[in-house]
Amino acid sequence: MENVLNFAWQNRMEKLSNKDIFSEILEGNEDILIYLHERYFQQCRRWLRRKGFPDQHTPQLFAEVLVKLFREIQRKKIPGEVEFEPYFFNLLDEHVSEEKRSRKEQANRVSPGFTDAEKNIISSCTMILDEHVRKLLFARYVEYLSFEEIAARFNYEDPVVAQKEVEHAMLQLENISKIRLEISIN
Amino acid sequence: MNISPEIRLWIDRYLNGQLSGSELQEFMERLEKDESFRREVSFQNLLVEGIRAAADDELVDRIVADIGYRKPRVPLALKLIITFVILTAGGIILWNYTGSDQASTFRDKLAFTFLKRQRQPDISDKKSTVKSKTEHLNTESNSKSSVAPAISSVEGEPDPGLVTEESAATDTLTNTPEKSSPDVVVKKDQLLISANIPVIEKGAPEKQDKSDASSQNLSSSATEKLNPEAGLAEEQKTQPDNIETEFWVSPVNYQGYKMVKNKLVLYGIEEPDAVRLFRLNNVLYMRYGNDVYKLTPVEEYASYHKIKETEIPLVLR
Repeated sequence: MENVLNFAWQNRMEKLSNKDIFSEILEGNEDILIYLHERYFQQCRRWLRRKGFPDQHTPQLFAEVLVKLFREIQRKKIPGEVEFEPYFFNLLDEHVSEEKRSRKEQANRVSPGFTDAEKNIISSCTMILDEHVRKLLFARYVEYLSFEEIAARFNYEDPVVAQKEVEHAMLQLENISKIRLEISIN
Repeated sequence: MNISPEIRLWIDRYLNGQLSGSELQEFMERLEKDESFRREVSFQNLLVEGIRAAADDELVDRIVADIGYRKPRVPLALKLIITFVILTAGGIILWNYTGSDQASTFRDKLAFTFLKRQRQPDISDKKSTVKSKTEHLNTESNSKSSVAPAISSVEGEPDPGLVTEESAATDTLTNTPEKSSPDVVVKKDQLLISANIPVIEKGAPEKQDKSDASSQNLSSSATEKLNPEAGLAEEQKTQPDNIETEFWVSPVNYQGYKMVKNKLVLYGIEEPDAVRLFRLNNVLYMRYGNDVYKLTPVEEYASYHKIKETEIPLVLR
């Protein structure tokens, strides 16, 4: 059944235009990433190889850029008139340059005030939450959706319910994280 | 610190960049004054950063899993080396098994033939000398006068096995132009065997020998007395008992012979063992099977002169 669904999805994806790709991203459809990696991965692999990155680093680097692009389009609400391919390769080029620079300078790219370890703890705490709670938090803090949009996506009666649900999810994460970080709740 | 839902929403709006104007100013003032509030904002910020990192990691993991990259067991460099070695080995094998005559000449110059040379060092050396000599002869002239040195170059070959393998240009009949096309294989005259064949004297009485010896002594003493310092050539000594004979085969089935001094070159004789040489009255005869041929000394090639049965001397029958 899953194979049939994948096949149907891929068939639909073959017909996607530049505008369709942007609209799918803006709608938060994560399956578009699978389509994009099948379309651009080999090209990127060759490009990265020319830039001096070995093949075993390519999937991680490629995935990071693809997710960065996905988030940026969602956050900035970039319209479908923008050409996707040059945009993607410019972002890849920037990411590669940044990666090289950070390797040279050994700089910590995490925002000031937090360490990598703390951030990873919060990340792992997020991953152990229920899928529904996790998606709710992602919708609010990753996709920057308003409570009205969250209510529409998750079929809540009104935005107030959505706000209460998000607060509840956040409180749940906060409690788990404090325990893991050994910070007193009170 | 327990915070109210209103404060939580306020911080949430700040972290999402939705505060502005007096609301933002009020938030910043409280952030500066209130230490616990500042810690709470910082912690909320950490939570949001962690949520974003978790979301990104989840997607990255999904994409990486979907790409399904595996590090190849055999590295690319090793693959290239193996391919190069296989291609080189294949090329050498093809070169050795499908080369033409011209190719083999060129191949001898390569270092790959050292194994072959180690196996047969003497033969290869002799081959090269014979080749160089025959090539030299070919370039000198195409006339028959060049035949004699060609034969002399082969004379010194004691090994019949080697000689039978090697071909040499000896006659204009089989001389080929030097600039032949590379795909044409030129057949040359082939030396079958070289042997000293004894000459059987027929009808030579001892008395005659004695008279010949006395007459020779007289003539030599006379020439010495007449002009001792003239250095006149002495009369040839008695005919030798053996004649060095070479049996050759021509690709055009030429049949003939030539005889210079004590050397006889025969063409078209398929069974060298069946040849017998006789001398009768200082004339050389050759018996081959039931046929008898008269051989007169000639420097150029001549066809066999077969003697009719009725004219064959009785002693040779």
